[in-house]
Amino acid sequence: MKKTVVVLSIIMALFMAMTAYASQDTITIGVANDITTLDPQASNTDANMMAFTLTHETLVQIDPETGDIIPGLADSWEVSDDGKTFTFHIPSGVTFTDGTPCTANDVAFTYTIAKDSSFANAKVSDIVDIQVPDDNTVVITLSRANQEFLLLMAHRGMSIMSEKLVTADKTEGPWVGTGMFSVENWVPGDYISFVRNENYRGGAAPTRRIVFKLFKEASTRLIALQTGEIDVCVDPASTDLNYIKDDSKLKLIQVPNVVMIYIAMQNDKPGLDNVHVRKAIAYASNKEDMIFAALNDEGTVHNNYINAGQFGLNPDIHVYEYDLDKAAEELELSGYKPGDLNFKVMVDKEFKKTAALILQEDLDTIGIGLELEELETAALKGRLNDAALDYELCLYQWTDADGTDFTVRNMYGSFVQEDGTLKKNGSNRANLKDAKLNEMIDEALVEIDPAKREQDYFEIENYLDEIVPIVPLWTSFVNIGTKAEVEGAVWMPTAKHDYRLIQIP
Amino acid sequence: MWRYILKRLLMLIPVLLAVAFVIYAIMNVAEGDPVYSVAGADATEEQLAALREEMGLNGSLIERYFRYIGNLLKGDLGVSYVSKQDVMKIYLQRLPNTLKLASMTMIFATLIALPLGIIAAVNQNSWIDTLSMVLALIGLSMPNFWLGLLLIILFALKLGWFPSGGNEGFKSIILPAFTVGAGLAALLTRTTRSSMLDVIRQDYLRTARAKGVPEKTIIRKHALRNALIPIITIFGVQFSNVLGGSVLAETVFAWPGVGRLVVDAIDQRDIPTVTGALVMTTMLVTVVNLLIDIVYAFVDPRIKAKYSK
Repeated sequence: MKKTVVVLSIIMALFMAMTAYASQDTITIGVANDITTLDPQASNTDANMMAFTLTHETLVQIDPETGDIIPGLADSWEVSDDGKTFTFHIPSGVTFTDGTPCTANDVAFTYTIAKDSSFANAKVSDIVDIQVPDDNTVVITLSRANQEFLLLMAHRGMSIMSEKLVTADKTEGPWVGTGMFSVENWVPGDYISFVRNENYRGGAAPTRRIVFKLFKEASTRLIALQTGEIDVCVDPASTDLNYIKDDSKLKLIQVPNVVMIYIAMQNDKPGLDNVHVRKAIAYASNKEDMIFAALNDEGTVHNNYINAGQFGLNPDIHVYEYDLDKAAEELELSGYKPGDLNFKVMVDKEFKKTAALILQEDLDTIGIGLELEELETAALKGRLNDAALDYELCLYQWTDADGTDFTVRNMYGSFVQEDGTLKKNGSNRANLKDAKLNEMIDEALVEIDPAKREQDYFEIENYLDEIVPIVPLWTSFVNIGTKAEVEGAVWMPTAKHDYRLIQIP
Repeated sequence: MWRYILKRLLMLIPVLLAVAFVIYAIMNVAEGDPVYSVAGADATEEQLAALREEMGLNGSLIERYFRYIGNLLKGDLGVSYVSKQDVMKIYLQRLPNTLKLASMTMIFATLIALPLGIIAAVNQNSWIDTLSMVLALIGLSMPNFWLGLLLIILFALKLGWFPSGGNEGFKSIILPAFTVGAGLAALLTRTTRSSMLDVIRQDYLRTARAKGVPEKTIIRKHALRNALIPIITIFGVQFSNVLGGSVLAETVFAWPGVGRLVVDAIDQRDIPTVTGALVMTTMLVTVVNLLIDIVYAFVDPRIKAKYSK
């Protein structure tokens, strides 16, 4: 009898010890947007990026707290004195989640195929040579001293893939990375599940299984959190945040968002090619009212031309404060009379429509007509990306924060074509083609002295503020509701959250 | 009868060809070039051209259509522009969910509508009749996304009896089926009532009563059977509608059905998925209609006799 009690006590103690340290086996995250691809080089949407963070690794990564570059797949690296050659060292014994060895050849392969990807090509455009002296070393040479090269390599779109697996299966080969998780099951439109990579070299993740479950309707997503069906509710409706705040079992996380919402103005269109008209629109933009009406006051006015938190953000930039008198003066300076100009503004979301209605009313006051054109997101993106550039105004957003050069080059830069004319870069929605600005951007990129480089970006912002290619409007918050006991996730201001270490103890 | 079924199945071919063409044409005139939706903002002209080739967007609409039909005849619905997965595989992943929801909806609607419609007709102008018609009116008038949210708040959030959404076991289908079925039950109740009212005034029922046949037998055996044709017709039409997808309910309940698949694909200009899913749904709806026609024959011997000729 005594022996039985002792054995039972030991079993009980072991059980209690196990339960004390064991995390919840599966964590379910209610997401608003579906995963569309598991190929890191085939997309740049937030939803997909969060999957790549689980399944893949980049050579280096960004420390979310300090913004410093820290090791990723590469455990160390050196940069040549001229800033053009980067040597990365890959540790021995790294494998992809299916057991395939990962070597420097896979890095070279990933960066080589990136040149053919319409999503990744801009990030590798400066690479002129890749050498693999041995399985653990890759040497990358750039055409110029790109000070943001490491930042670009930390982008999830540059996740390392296996040459062997991708060559064998172009569809599912890219799904496999060296990350902490691997894809378990993917039912598009329903859910995707990931299971822990037990052999991850840095130690296994605390949670065995992570599920992204699609709840398109924000109210249902929040109710699923309240009922305990999911553990994390991404992006609850801003009008429902109080339900989370008032519930002791839940916790609301609000991270200032770096995403900049702005008015894109096609600078080649008649009327918009006049800087005074663009200034009139800037003065007529009542950003505070827009935030109040469109975002339930959950936002912050943004006056800079690069994202909040980016290196080189000019704190003393001149601000086009809302002032309809000044807007009318600028219109007069433009040579146009009230009633001469009528524009169309494209919007794809309800909150943007609300903001556009406020702009419409203010522009109407100074005599500029504004017609709202409501489009589905795909149609709107199609119009923006179409070579015809057949649009005037659009409420759009800049979501990338991979370095100031990447932002200014993509949003405002252009390149010289074979015939010597300038053509806008991909995300340059203003269709700005300004040789002087291009020169300023190039100079800032290769400047080694950080203080001088910061000053360069201040000047770029000042220059942009003079020519007003766009009107920056606001940044908001990334809202996440979780069960109170959820911990370990890294909530990102880009909304591309890192769930690798999420757990419920 | 078999000749009729064969004839109907053969008629499916031109219907499918026409449906595929109409969808193809609509998707091609809709704003938003699929290449720009799929390509990144930094796509070069060469990359766009390569993508266009890869997506099969080269050539005229007619050329592309015939290429598509050629593949369709081989059972190949193409590959999704977005997820790069086989459209047939994606569709077949969603189809069981849609069939489950449609079947549960019809079972639920029938269980409510038939007894209620019969009772209302038999007790015409009584309080039961009035109540059933008021309920039917409410069921028809209430937007199903709103009803769905109310049901979620009551039964998932407050009472915790059912999950708020998703597709996890039998319990998760109850609320969406009730939501979609409420309007349908209302329509079926009204149809059953009016169809029964038409029949119970017929002379042959008066004769049956005069002969002393019990009222229950009259209603069940003589009245209901003769009133069933319009009810089955409405049933068939509504079943086909639900098979096509109940987008609002699927969205509110995060139910991964065909309706949401199609709507999401339209948003993304994913032409192969839209066309493939709609062609498959058309085929399914045509088969359901054929089955309904066959059921007519079993319910009404006159129709069976006509087929036999």
